[in-house]
This record gives sequence, C-alpha cells and structure tokens, in this order.
Amino acid sequence: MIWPTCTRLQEVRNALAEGHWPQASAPDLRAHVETCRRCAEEVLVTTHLQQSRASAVALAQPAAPSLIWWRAQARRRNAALAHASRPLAAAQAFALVIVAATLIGMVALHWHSILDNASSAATTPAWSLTAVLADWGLVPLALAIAVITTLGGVVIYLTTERQ
Amino acid sequence: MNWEDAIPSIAIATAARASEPAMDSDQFAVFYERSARPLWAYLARASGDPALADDLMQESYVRFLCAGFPGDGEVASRRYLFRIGSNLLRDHWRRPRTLPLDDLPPERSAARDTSAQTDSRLTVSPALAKLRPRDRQLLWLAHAENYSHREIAEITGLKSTSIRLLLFRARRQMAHLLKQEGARVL
Repeated sequence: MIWPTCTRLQEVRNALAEGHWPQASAPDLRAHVETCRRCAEEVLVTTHLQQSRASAVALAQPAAPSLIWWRAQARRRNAALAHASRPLAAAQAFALVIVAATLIGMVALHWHSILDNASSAATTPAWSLTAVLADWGLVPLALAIAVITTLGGVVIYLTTERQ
Repeated sequence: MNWEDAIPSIAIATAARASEPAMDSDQFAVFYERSARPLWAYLARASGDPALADDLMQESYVRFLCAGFPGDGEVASRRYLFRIGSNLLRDHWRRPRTLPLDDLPPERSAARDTSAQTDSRLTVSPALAKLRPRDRQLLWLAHAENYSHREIAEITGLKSTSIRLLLFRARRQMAHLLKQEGARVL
C-alpha cells in the first residue's frame, strides 16, 4: 500500500496539538493545508473531534468520587471474603465427607447386627442402651459425638460469618 | 477468640492487604476530578450512548481501584483507566443487544455547548455513528486525546504495527463522512 505522506504533516500536528491552529499558525502552513489532501484530512478530523471532545467534557456529570471509592471498597471486601471463605468451605466439605464415610463404613461393618436387631424388633418392645452397647460397644457414641461436634462447628462458623 | 473467628479474620486481612489500592481516597479524588470527564467523553462518543457511558465510567473506576494499579504517575494511571474503559466497551459490543428502542435514553441537553461545539457535534456524531466501533475508538484516542500509536496499542490491545494502517483508513473514512455532513476545514 502506498502511504500518502507529507513533509509538513508533523508541523500541522504540532499546531493542532498545541492549539495554535488556525489563528496562531503560519500563513504558509494554512496555505499548504488548503492544497495538501493528507494535511487537510488531518486538520478536518482533528478539529472536529477536539470540538466534540470539548462539548462532551462539558456535558459530563460524573458521580461523586466518594461514591466510587465506597463502591470499590465494598467490592474489594466482598472479594476478600470470598477468597477467605474458600479454604474454610473446603475444610467443611472434607469434614462432612469423612463423617459420611465413617458412618457408611460402620454400617457396612455391622450390617448383620442391624438386620438381627431389625428382625428381633418385632419381638422386643424397644431398643435398650445396654443391648446397643453390647452389640456395638462405644462406637455409636463416639460417632454421634463426632457428628454433633462437626455440625456444631459448622453452625457456629456460619452464624459468626453472617454477623 | 476461637478458631472460627480467628481464621476468617487473618485470611481476610491478608487478602485485603494483597489488593490494597495504590492511592488513598484524597489522591483518588484529585485523579478522578482530572480524568473523569475525558473518560466519559471517550466512552460517550465511542459508544454513542451517554447513559451507557455513565455506567461504564463508574465501573472503570471501581475496577481501577480494585486492581490496585501501582502506576508510574498520573499519565500511566490515566492510560490504564482508558484501557479498562476500552475493554468494558468491547465486552458491551460483544454482548447481544436486548434493549428495545423505546427504552433508549433521550439525548442529554446541549445547553452548555458553545455554537461551534454544537455545530461540530451535529456533524461529528452522525459521522462517528457510521464508523465501526473500533475505528471510533482509534480516531478518538489519536485525534481527541492525542495518544501516540504505541499508547493506543496499549489501550486497545491491538498490535502497535497495525494501528497506523487502521488509523489511516478510519481517518480517511471519517474525513469523507464529515464532508458529506457539510463539514469543512476550520
């Protein structure tokens, strides 16, 4: 592609950028712009866009900087909260998975006892603590304490986070 | 203090420090006063929608503060701000349009325009509207904001080597459209 160039283009650009065009620019430069297509385009586009800019700048009604600052602070805080909550949520999920796995494991190990208890439920009026302890030992008790502790921790964390 | 309280506090404090803004509220207020109107002018003329320019300008500043741009002085910060604004404009243009014509906001009052500015606006706006969005951005940054090709490349994300050709084409088309609108060399 052939670039239409002009040796006086930079001179014209400087005059436009410094606000010297057209009154404070040399008469020969003004005469040159009338005959040079490249420079005429530069002047035409730049002067009109600069006037459009002045008009738009006068029309602008920017909000108070304090409002923008407050919005940015709120967004930064929310982002920081989300960032901080990520490992805690992962820890909670991990704890719940461990508890669920333990529960499933215990049931799998003692499912024969569960079936026996279910079949004898018709003849026995109710489950007794001594019978459960005899069959399972302290495992159900420890499991119940673990579940209650974990869920309690989750509830306390969620409550303090909301506050 | 138990661990439920302690861990979030430590983590939040660390995360907040990591994204600390590069300027305090007073410095920001000064920077905002100097840069808000030119940024709005750019967004309004490039998008052709003053209401959209309001939203994008606020979002640009919020992102600017959240990014914690260290900046190498006000010029670099301003360039970074224009870059955020350009990215937001590009995202807006990529989104499918769902706004019905009836909901388009009315033109803002031109009461504060001088007559020359009004004349220019009446010829420039229709001409700009006929250009491609990218050409509007390039022309505005080069001719209204006086940015160099390298700076325009930094703001728009385009290759520095292609700016010259793109600007040449856009300028020629703009000059042609301005002449059609009755504009003349001032």
